[in-house]
Amino acid sequence: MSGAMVADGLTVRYGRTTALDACSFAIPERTIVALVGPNGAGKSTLLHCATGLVRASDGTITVLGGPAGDPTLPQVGFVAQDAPLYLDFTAAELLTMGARLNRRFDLAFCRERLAGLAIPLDRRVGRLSGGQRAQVALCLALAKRPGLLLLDEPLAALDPLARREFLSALMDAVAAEPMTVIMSSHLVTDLERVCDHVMVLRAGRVSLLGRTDELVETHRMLIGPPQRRRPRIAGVERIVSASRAQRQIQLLVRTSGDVLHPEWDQHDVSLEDVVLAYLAECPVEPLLELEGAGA
Amino acid sequence: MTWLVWRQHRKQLFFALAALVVLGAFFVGTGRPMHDRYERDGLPACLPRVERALVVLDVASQPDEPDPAPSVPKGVTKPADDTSRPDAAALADARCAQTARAFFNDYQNVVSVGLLLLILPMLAGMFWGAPLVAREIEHGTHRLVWTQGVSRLRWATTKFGLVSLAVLVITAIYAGMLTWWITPAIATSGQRFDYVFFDIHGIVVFGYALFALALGICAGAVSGRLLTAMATTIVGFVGVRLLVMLAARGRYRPTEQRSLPDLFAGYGQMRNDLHGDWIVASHASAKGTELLTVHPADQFWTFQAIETAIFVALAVPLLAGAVYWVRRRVT
Repeated sequence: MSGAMVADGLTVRYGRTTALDACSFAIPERTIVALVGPNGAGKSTLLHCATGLVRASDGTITVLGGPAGDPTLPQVGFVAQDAPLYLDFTAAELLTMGARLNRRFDLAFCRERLAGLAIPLDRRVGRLSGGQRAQVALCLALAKRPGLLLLDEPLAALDPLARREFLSALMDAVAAEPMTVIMSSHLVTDLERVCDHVMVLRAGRVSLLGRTDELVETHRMLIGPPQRRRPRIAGVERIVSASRAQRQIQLLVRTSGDVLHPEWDQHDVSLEDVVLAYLAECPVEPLLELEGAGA
Repeated sequence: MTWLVWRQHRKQLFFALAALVVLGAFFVGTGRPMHDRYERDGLPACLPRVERALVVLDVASQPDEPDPAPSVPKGVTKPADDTSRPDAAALADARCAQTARAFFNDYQNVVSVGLLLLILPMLAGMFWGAPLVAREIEHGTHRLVWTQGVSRLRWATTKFGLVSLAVLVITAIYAGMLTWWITPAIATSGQRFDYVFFDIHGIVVFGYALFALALGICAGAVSGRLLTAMATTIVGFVGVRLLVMLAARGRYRPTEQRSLPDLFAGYGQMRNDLHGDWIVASHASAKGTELLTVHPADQFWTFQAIETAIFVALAVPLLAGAVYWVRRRVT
């Protein structure tokens, strides 16, 4: 498999907890991926693996065709959660640091960018706003001219206006120079506007990875009467989640063609519906049996 | 990388230099009068000679002036090995020793500040070593700096190397000032092996500083917490220093036996405290002379070298361990 990030049986254990459990996936190049999952699902661990900050306990992860860590680090831009920066440095000093620590670092690009965002270069970063700090951190990562940009919860600490500005700055950069971007978030709604792929992590496993438009097309919400046993519906490849709504049952399904069944009402789904279904992904059978017994 | 180390640690460097200036002012302020009197008393000229003698005349029991040669009764031949009468040189030595004792008594209080200097190397470990990795991890900035284009190995070796170098340079300046300041006190005390004097001057200070620094860095790299690292540095430094001082130092070299010349032969004589041996034990021999178990004074630099080597040997694996932890660290 080739791609911007490829994992094969990737497992990371911290002592007795397993943060990533035999993950295998390939993220194509030049995509913008929303990495979604609840806290503790392994999002940060996965991004840290790709930078070499965390080592795989088992399995492999390759980045831009090379092993994650020192060999590929020069081509990977990374902004960790909460955008850590040396708060006693000025923005200019951070840029100097970037230039000193990287063989490839576009200083002029950075200066121009920060000037465009009206971020003062000579002020200590600790005295900038959270949004400005996030912009400085993004700028440092972009100046490496990375093939792969990893952003760990880039929006979590930002107010709505700063989020919008951050994302538009990011999209400008991607438009100017194609690269793969993987950014994590609790919620896909944050990133829906910009991403073209979604990856859902749940309890250390990849439960969903695909193109956003395909995901929306191939999933349906079916509403029908309670069932005694697992329903078999033509055109449904898989029932992702089931839930009860009054006297009816709601199924979120992955389809393999047109769903044709008179008992079931069909509804289109949003990307958020799909992601939430895969995040929850509760076992279907107990719910059905319970419904059946009650009926 | 060098630029980053300078940018991150320049404040600490300025603080250290400011502390050196304050310390230097103290040394000059208290040291100038001490040195003036040291010269005035003529001690620099006579001490090197007196130091070599095992016994000196007890000057209190001597007449003010040595008997002039003519006072030897006519017709009595003076025996060739006559030690019963002090000659002028021996008396001068005794006076020199007495002056030295008086000098040391007067400056003992000033020198007791030396007790405070015992913990100075530990400060290098607490304020330079402990935060080096621990603060990065506490602030999360290790995720910034370890994901630039520089490997963690290079980050760690450059950082540890340059900071160690800075600490050694500061220690050298400090040791130079201190040696000038304390020389009169040590020379007039004759106690170079004393727990305070041995430990605050000479080359051991470099060993202590390097060890404290390495301990702080390693504790910070392993724990990732500044306070834990600082506490570990204090406990580890004091513990290892005491252990080495009390349990190991006396065994660096075998002791030697030294029997003093008969103190009661002829005029009153006394043991020369200025000789500077490390006296481990003393017993009266059968003949009424004193028998000493000692580490001879001329072993001083051997002891310093061995003690320094021990602390450097402890520091090296600690630094290597810190590099290993930085590389292996799961973040």
